[in-house]
Amino acid sequence: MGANAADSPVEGWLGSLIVVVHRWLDVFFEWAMWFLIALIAIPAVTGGVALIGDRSQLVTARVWADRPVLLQAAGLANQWSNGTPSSDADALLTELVGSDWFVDQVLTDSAVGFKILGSDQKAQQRLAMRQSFKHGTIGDHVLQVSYVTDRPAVGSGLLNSVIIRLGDSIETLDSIQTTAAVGLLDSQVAEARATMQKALADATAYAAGKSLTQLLDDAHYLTLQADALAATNYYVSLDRQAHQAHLAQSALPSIRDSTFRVMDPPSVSPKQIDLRSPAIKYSMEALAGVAVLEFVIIYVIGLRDPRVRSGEEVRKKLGVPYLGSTPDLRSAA
Amino acid sequence: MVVTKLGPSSWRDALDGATAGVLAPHGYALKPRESLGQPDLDRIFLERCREAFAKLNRTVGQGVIAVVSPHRSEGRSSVAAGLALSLVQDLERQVLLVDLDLRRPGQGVLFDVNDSPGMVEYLENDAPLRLTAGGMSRRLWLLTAGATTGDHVARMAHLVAHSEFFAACRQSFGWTVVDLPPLLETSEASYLAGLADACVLVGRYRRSSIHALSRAVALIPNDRPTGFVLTGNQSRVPAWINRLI
Repeated sequence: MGANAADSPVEGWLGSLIVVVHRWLDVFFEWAMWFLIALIAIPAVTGGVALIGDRSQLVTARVWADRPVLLQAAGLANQWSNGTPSSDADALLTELVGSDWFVDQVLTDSAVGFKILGSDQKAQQRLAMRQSFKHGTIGDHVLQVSYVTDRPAVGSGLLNSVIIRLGDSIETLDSIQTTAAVGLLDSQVAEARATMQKALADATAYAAGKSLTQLLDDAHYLTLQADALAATNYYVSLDRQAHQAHLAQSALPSIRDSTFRVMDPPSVSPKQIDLRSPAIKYSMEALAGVAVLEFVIIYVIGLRDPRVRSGEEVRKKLGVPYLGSTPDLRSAA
Repeated sequence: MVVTKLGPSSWRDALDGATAGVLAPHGYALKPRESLGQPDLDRIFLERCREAFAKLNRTVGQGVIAVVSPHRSEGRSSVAAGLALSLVQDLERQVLLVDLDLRRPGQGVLFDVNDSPGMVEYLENDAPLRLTAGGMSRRLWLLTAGATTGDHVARMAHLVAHSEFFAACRQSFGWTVVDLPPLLETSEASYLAGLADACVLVGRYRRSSIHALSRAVALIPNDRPTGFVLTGNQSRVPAWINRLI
């Protein structure tokens, strides 16, 4: 065409891109209301249906966790953690749930016929258990465990098993730690005893054949005497500590109730909607699906719809200068 | 009998005679026997038509502007009327609006005047050429299409195309805006567009297809300055985004 472009439009690939982007935007804003309604309504309906259809219930239990006072008195506390008793138990539970050994024990206790399942089915059960089981701390001493299930009785059994197994593990861990510490103390006591006996023997041997008056003025004897006294004091101190440790070790099974006990036994809690609940999960999936679908619709219409949506488009495709646009008139002839 | 009317002098006499019948020498109305009504075109619409003409006017000084569209109902007649009205407002010259869509004339309805008698009656009968004045200072003149049957349309269009009508318009009026029939639906529109000094191609937002516009552009002679006007623009893209891109 002979006329020049009236304005100074963007040329080249950028101009083409702008025209295409404008088409997409125009399609979007043409249907924006419906897109928005779909974006809200479909996920909401999906989530609602999932919520109604979701028959799962949340079984929750709370456990009191503490450290044995005897271990602290014997200098054996905090051997494996600097956290609070509940966080220690929580951390230990995290590690235990990550192990197949622990999960298998729990499932064997609570799920009928778990032992006879094939390896694939066992793996599925383990995965389901890990996905449904949650735990966390409340304050320094309370550990909360919960399990999502559509069979509350099974959930209660599973939580009971988890609590018992966790208590056993904590007791075993304490026992192992204490035994190791007691063994170390015993060896130190034996060594101190030998040192003490040698020092006493040295002093006694040196004093043989000498009068008390001579010995009181003998600097070497006084040194040997002081060494023997120090070795004796050290031995006595270690022996006392070892005695305390032995007491603590033997008391561990009997003090379990004071260090790890069930506060609230497993019970069904009101259903809570969190980010991992099926309603939210399906809503998010529906939201993403609708958003993707809308993008595809906009993209396809923008590319395939032959109707003109801007004057710049005509200028770009047909080379006809764009003079402007007029608003809609009801009586356009 | 008809042929004698189609020379440039005859057309010019007819046009001058039609305007002189109601105008005093200084150009103001003397006997407004019939007057154009106010078309239902709002201020924004006219402003956009004025802007469109301003852009087109950079390449065309004066003469005949043909307003065309690929199909009907794309806003062609409204744009032609809007262009004519904005020209009258901006320029101190007489402007003629001609409705050459003989099959389905629209300007009579738009300006609230009878289509007949018009171009057809002038060509076929001995009726005098009827022009109706209106617009600012009555400088806008409307030549309606007249009444005809489908059989005669092609012949009438042929007569106009092969007469000196456009030449006479150039002599008697500062600007002439011609409302042509749809390019893709009639055979005469393309030829008539070629006789104009410039063309305004009209396409309707979300109705005209780019393929139809492409075919319409192909029917306009290449040497004819042409611009595109998008009508019925209802784009909901926010203005700030439009400015951004």
